Amino acid sequence: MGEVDAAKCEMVERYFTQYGWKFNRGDEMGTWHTGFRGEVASFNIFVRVTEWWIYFIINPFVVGPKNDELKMRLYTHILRLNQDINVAKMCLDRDFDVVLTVELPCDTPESFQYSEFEDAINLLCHYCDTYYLEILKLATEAGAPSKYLDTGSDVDLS
Amino acid sequence: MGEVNQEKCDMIAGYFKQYGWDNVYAGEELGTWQVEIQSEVAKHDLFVRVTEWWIYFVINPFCFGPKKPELKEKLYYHLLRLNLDISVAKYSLNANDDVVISVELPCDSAATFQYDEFADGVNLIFNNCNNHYLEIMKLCAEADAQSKYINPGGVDIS
Repeated sequence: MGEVDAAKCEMVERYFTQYGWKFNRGDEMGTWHTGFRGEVASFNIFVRVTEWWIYFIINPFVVGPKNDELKMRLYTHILRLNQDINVAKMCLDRDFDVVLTVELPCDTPESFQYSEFEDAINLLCHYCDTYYLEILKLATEAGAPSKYLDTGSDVDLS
Repeated sequence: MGEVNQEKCDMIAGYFKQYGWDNVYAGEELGTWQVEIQSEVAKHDLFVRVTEWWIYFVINPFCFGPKKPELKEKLYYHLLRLNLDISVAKYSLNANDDVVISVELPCDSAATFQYDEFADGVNLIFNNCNNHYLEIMKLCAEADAQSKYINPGGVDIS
């Protein structure tokens, strides 16, 4: 049965080392902090294992809009983006900040392979590099472009 | 190496049967299937697709998007907040602004993707249908529908 135990934690730490990344253990067993420098910004990643899943979370990915008028375009864009990105998803937290996560099954150390860990990190890094700037612009600039929305009439062009 | 081959497709077809589903239709493209499922509240068409590296469980559309533009912001905020609360599954929008739900899991070879993981994917879809379909449907259709994340004044109360 899945559980958060020392074997599973050791596996994750071994995978971090194999990937070549440093990490800090969190206060709670089964949590870690790491980070990376992407092409346009640096990101802190929170990693957590539970009984059944492993979560890779960047929160905040983009700080939410200060201006309410920007929210609708931003929300529409990231919900449309959710259909286009594999495995990862964009969310909002209660501070209206955009969160990026990758979540995979991880019930036992035997079933969660290094290749899956590597895929998760690679996907996260790829999406950070690919989408950070466009989402940041949508969260901060009126009329920022969205491939899903016309800048004038919010008509979907995709 | 991951690929869409007959062995992987036969494995998935076997998992459908093991799950107890006989009314599964193979799509025209190798590695795609469609099955009608019934949750506690509604019927849905579930599409399943395997690629080189992943398996996708998708209901598209899950709910038709709002006809009234004024319903969209509350719905979109709700979906994005929900994305942070639910594990692995994600809500997104399609090109028609309909709500889509999907679960995406690693599936690189027939040797590593076990029946338990297939069942997890399907059960995640069912859980979301049972737990969230009605609330999302209401948010798409009713101006006074409530979201557990925001009060009528638009303040996050979660």
